Amino acid sequence: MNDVLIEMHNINKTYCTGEVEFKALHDVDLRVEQGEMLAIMGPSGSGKSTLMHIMGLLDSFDSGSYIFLDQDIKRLNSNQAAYFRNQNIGFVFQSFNLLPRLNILDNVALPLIYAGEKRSVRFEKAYHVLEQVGLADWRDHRPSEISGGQKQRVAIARALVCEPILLLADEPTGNLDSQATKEIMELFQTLNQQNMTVVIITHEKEVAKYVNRIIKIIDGRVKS
Amino acid sequence: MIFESIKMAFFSLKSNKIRSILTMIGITVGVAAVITIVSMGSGVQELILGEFEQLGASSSTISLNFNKATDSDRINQEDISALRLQIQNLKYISRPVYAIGNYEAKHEDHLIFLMGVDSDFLKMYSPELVAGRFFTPVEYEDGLPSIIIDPIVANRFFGSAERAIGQEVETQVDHQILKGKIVGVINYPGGDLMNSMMTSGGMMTDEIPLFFYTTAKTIQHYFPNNNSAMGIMLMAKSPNFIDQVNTQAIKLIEFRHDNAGLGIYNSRNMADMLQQIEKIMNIVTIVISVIAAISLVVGGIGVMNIMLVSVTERYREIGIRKAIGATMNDILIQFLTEAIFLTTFGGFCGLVAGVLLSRMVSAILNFRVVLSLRWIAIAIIFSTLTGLIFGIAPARKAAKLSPIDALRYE
Repeated sequence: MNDVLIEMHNINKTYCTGEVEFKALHDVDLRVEQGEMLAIMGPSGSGKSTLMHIMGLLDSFDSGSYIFLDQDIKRLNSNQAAYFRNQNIGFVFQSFNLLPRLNILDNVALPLIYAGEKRSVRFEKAYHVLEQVGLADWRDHRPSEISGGQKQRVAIARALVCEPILLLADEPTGNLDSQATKEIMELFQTLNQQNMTVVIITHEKEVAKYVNRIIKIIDGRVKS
Repeated sequence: MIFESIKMAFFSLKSNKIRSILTMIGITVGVAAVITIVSMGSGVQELILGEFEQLGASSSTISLNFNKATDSDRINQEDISALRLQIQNLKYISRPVYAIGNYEAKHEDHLIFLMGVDSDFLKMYSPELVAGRFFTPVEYEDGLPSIIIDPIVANRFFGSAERAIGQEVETQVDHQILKGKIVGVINYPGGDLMNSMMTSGGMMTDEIPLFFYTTAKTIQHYFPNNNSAMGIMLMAKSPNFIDQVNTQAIKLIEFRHDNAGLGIYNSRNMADMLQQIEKIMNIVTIVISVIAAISLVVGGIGVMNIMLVSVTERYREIGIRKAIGATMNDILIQFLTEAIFLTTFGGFCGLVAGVLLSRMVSAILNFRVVLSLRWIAIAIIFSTLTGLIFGIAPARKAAKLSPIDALRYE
């Protein structure tokens, strides 16, 4: 349980929008161990989303070092980063981000296309993770035909389908009622008990009680 | 991955059906128009070339320049005999004459084109004998009232070629009458060309003359005041000699009529004509290619426009795909495939429409259209290329999007 998964050191990130410079992250140090369930909390504009994007290899950083599983992230080009994301990180978003024109099964199987899996393998794996989140019977439906809680479970299934090491959730319960929030958080807990590392970005105190560790971030600085 | 991209492209185009179809139509109409024109053009070309090939590369015609010629310049039978004796390497020489008159059948007057041929004429063009026989040497020599017709006339007035043989026909040229007997039915090689040119004229159906053949002597004998020579036709022993035969023949005729250097006689040989036709056809091909290029560019711009709209609409989808592991190339290929699918499928529909349209034209105007594999390949390849060229910019735009910008976009 003590292997280090993520090691960030002195991460800085500045956004330039026209004339105005905005320092989103300020010398951020962060260490995540394998099997942890971690919440990153902070008010809006605190830089937590930026941290999540950098952690998920969706965004670059200006200075500092970021090691993910012995891999120096700074050395990856955009294609390598894409493949690294595909293989190691599963994303869960606040607004679910399912493709509305694909059915549930196709949505879940989508990452496997980019992993280069064969069609039969894709559907087998997608069906398997859908079963895990209890939505296998809904596989032929469109995302518009299911509830918010169900959508988020589909999104979690999609995040799991490539068997990642890290599950990265950005305000996963932001669009859900309290009952659905409870279900989703319990699902995260279950996954964590199966040794999945889970990092949740949130500003809801509700969520915090499900995690082992909380990191607070204010004005681009970590206060733990 | 390629198969996956095509399926994905098809799926995404299907979910925007009307827009996809409208975009495709630009390409479809262009390709359909080009295919129709090309196949009709090739049809005409094949028809003409076919006729000329039958006439042979070793033959030529010498005719009078009617602007300058007087009666004394006319090529007469004595000229023919002289040419036959004096020109080396001359295989056949013919001086057909004609008279225009009418033929009364089924209580109706029909315009006829009565052609008087000699024995060399039929040898030169070796027409296909459908029924009966050709003229005999005696008929040529004595100008007997024997008539040969073509299958069109035979079918129209007698029901069939066989039934026409032995029938009496009465033709009239300027109140002079020729009562003749049909001895044969032939497919005159120039007949198809002549007929199809006339029938495609449409309206003037009633005015198309019927073709009757008899001997040159017969026309001279029965209609002494009404015969006109069409010029003479020469055939050399091989295509290599035709220029030489031609030059010598004109010199000899000019010598006999004492009109050298006045440019009274025009000459054309088949090789020249073929070259001219090929020149015209090349120009036609260039014009068609330009039209095709313009229509593909216009269609391509439509595709580019719609792909740019599609990229903007799907920022979020692009962001999601990138987040879950799509590389720049994956996105590039996805959007490029959509553009290529649109234009290639559009081109294919245009091809099908073009083939159907040219078949229809072919059925209505009653001539054969020819569509070569080459043009089918060109149509498909160029519509695919259009998709590639006009799809690359929108696809690059999509591929270059940063995943967080794309995800944030509402």
